[in-house]
Order: sequence, then C-alpha cells, then structure tokens
Amino acid sequence: MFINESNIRKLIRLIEESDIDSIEVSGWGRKVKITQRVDAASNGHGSAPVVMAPQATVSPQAARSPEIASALAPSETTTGDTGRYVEVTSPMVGTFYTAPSPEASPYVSPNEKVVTGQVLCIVEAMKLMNEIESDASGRVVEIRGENGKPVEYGQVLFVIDPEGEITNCERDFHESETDAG
Amino acid sequence: MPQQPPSDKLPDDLLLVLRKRPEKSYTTFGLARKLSRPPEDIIQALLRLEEWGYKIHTTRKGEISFRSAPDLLTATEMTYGLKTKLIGRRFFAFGKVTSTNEMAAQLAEAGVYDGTVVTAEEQTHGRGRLGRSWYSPPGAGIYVSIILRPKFRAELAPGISIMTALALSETLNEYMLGKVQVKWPNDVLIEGKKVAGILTELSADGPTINQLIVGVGINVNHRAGDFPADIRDHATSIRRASGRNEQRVLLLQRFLARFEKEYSKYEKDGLARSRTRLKAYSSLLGHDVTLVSGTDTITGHAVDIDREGRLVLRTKEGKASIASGEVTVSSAKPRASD
Repeated sequence: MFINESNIRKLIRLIEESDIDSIEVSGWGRKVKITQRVDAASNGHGSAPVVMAPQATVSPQAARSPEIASALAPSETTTGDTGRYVEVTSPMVGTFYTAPSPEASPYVSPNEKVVTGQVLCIVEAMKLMNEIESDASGRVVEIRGENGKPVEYGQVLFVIDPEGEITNCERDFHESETDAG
Repeated sequence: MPQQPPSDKLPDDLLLVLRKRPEKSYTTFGLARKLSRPPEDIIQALLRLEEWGYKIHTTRKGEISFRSAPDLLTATEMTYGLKTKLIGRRFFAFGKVTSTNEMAAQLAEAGVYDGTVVTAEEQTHGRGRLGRSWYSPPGAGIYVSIILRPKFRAELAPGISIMTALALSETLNEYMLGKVQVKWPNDVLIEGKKVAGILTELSADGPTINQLIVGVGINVNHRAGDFPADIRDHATSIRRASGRNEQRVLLLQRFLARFEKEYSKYEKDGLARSRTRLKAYSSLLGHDVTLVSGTDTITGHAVDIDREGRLVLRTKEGKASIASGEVTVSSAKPRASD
C-alpha cells in the first residue's frame, strides 16, 4: 500500500468506525501505525464544552459574511482562554485562496474539524502554489485570510482550537518512517 | 510503470557498449563475451531494443552497429549524455499519468531523493494554476516535474518559479534566438504565444521546506492543428515557430543542465545574479499593464523586476511591488494566459 496522507486518513476513518484498536501498515519503505483508545476523561464530561474565539478577534470582513457570522453565533460561551489556540501563519507573501480552483468548494469552513497535516488553503506567490497545512488537529475557530486577497509573511491565516475536537475517543497518531532508499 | 527494463539490465548495458563507439561493428559472439552472457541473450536484448525503437544495423555477415535512438523520454535515454550532478540523476519515466506533478508529489512523500525527475509521454490531467488544465497529448510535448528539497526557507521558494522560467527561456533561446520572452512571472512565450507553462508546488512545515515540485510543460513538436481550437490562437510549439521537429530528449537534457546551473546560483544568491537576464526576457517592462491579483485589480507602468522577483509597477499612487497576479498589457487585447 502506498503510504500517503490520503491513505492515512482513510485508515483513520476505517479504524474509527471499527473496534480495532491498532493497525500497522507498511509499503514503499515506510511504515505507519495508528492506534485508537477510548479516553475515559472525555467520556466523563459528556459533551465537551465548546469554546469559541472572543468576538474581538473576528475581522470585520469575516463578520460580514453570513456563513461565518452564523458559525460564530454561539460565542456567548466565550471563556477568553485563547492560549491553547494554534495559529496557522503564512510562510510567505502572496495571495490567499480558500479553494484549489475558483469552482471548487473551500478546503475548510469555520467550525470544521481538521487533522494535523490537512490542507487548509493555498498561498500563491509568483505562481508558486503553497498548500498550507494545519499545524494541529482540532476545530477551525476562525479563518482570518480573505479569499483572493494578499497576505503578508507571518500573517495569521487560521486559528485552530486543538481541544475543539468533540469526540469520545482520542487518537494516538504515530508515524514511524524509514528511508525508502 | 517506469519504462525501464524491470530486472534485466542487459539491453541497457548492450546499448552502452554499442553507443560508445557507434562506428564500430560487433559480432554477437564478441558482445556475448564482452558482457559475459550467452549469445541467445544478446539476440533477445537486441530484439528488445528494436521494439523500443532503437535502430540497430546488421550487415549480411551478422555484424552489429548502433544507428539511432528513439526520441522517447525514457530513463535510459534521458540519463545517457545528461550533464548534471543533481537534477535528473534519479529518473522516473512514465507512459501515461494523470499529471507529473501528482506523481512527483507521491514519490516525494515516499522519500525519493533531491533532484529526482519525473516525466511522462502523456498527461490525462495536466494541471495549470488554480485548477486550469495543460493540454498534454502523447509524444509531442515534454511533461516533466523536478523534485527539490532545498535548505532555504519557504518564503524564498516563490522565486524558483521565475528562476525556472529563466532557465527554460535560455534553453529555448538556443533554438530560436531572440524570439523567446517571459511574461512575468513565468509564462514562456514565442512571438507572444505561450510555448511552456510552469506550475510550482510547495510543501512546507512552517518555514521548513519538505519539498518543492517544479512542473513544466513544453510544447515541442505540436502542429497548429494539434491544439484544441480554444487555445490555438495563443498557444504555440517550438515546431510551429521553427518549422522543424526537435529532439525532446536533447531539449530536456539541455533544460535540466540550465536548471541545475540556475538553481545552484539561486541557492547562494537568490535572483540577484539573474536580474539583468530576467529583465531582458521580460515581455512586460516598458508597457502599461493591468494586473489582476485574486480579487484586486491594479493598473500601472511596468518598470522593474526586483531582487525578490516581484514586478514593480509605477502607479498613480506611487511604486507598487507585486508578488502575485495575472498581468495583461493594457494596450493589447487582453486574453487568458493559458
């Protein structure tokens, strides 16, 4: 089996839907092991509290969009604890694109759950396409970039809440690699 | 599957012997002794070579000599006579693929080496920027992707697009002196029509580059009628401009050699030492242009390309350095870049 990101995601989905607690696959000189265990702590909580971004951090453009505004509607429960949020920044100056092509649907929407390494957007500069991946697994709290607009080096594009993933199992995700050569 | 002999490398070894001295004739037995294989194997290997399109001359006395190689982008042909140290030293030649960039991305994920080159004879989903397609019929063009694992930071990666356009322009300029231009940032044009497209894709972990995949599509031996009607007016091929067929293998080898030279300069000094040449090839400098970047539109006079490879426009509000966007010359009829 060819071990790439999409296959790993398929494996994760497969394991989530099953009672298997560990799976190990190798191919092309790489090996990946995915284990799943039920997390007692999060079970005890029932549904985990939803923590939203403080309203102040929402850019005016984002607030105008009805889709984003409605996604942020339940933000009355704001705790103000944003220290755990992971910010995904632009590694270069360029143009921000939320989708791979103008006709395609966006890579992610506000409130959507993402996993580490998942593509969130494209930053293009001088026709170099840079697929920006998520630095964390969690929930997209905020999309700060605006489709088709310029972004600066280091500008925050996404805010991810790593604890925002409301699931009752916690994934251990190990990837052990050996050089293919 | 790579078009390489799976396990038996005898045809390759045989080719090397025959090619080294094409003027010399060999006997089957002589070759068998030289390669320490039974004569039957040599005959089988010669037949294989002929199947692949190699022309082997046999005299009535049964003496064998090398005549010519097929113009196929196989690993054997591409690495024979390739004058590079890094780029293309590992080579994957495919027949038909969705897109070479896609194959390259998978190979890169699997951990192939820096400088690995992927080619295909045909792409079913040749890609351009933002979901656009690149017309890629079999045999006529060069569809190639180069996998790079540079040590510089991700923010310096965009200049590679421009550097690639320069390496390609200099290569094509050898075929048709003075007719090659680059429409910033990286459309390579012959007489105002697009002859090659470049799509560079970066995978980075913050500032650290995992890999940079430089995909290039070059229209080489297409005839006018080979292009679909919708792109015929603004696409061209080397053949259309020069009137004769060119050897794709040789062209790609020359390009890879240029690319390697420019890339090693880029690693040291960025575009600093390429700016003069970049500006000389530019089709935009000195013209009034309209730039569409995402959802923004700017008009101005193109005055410079800076050290970062950005296009500098003189606008009503002052100078603006542009990092991305689609440019059209205002006076000319605007048209899509691909």
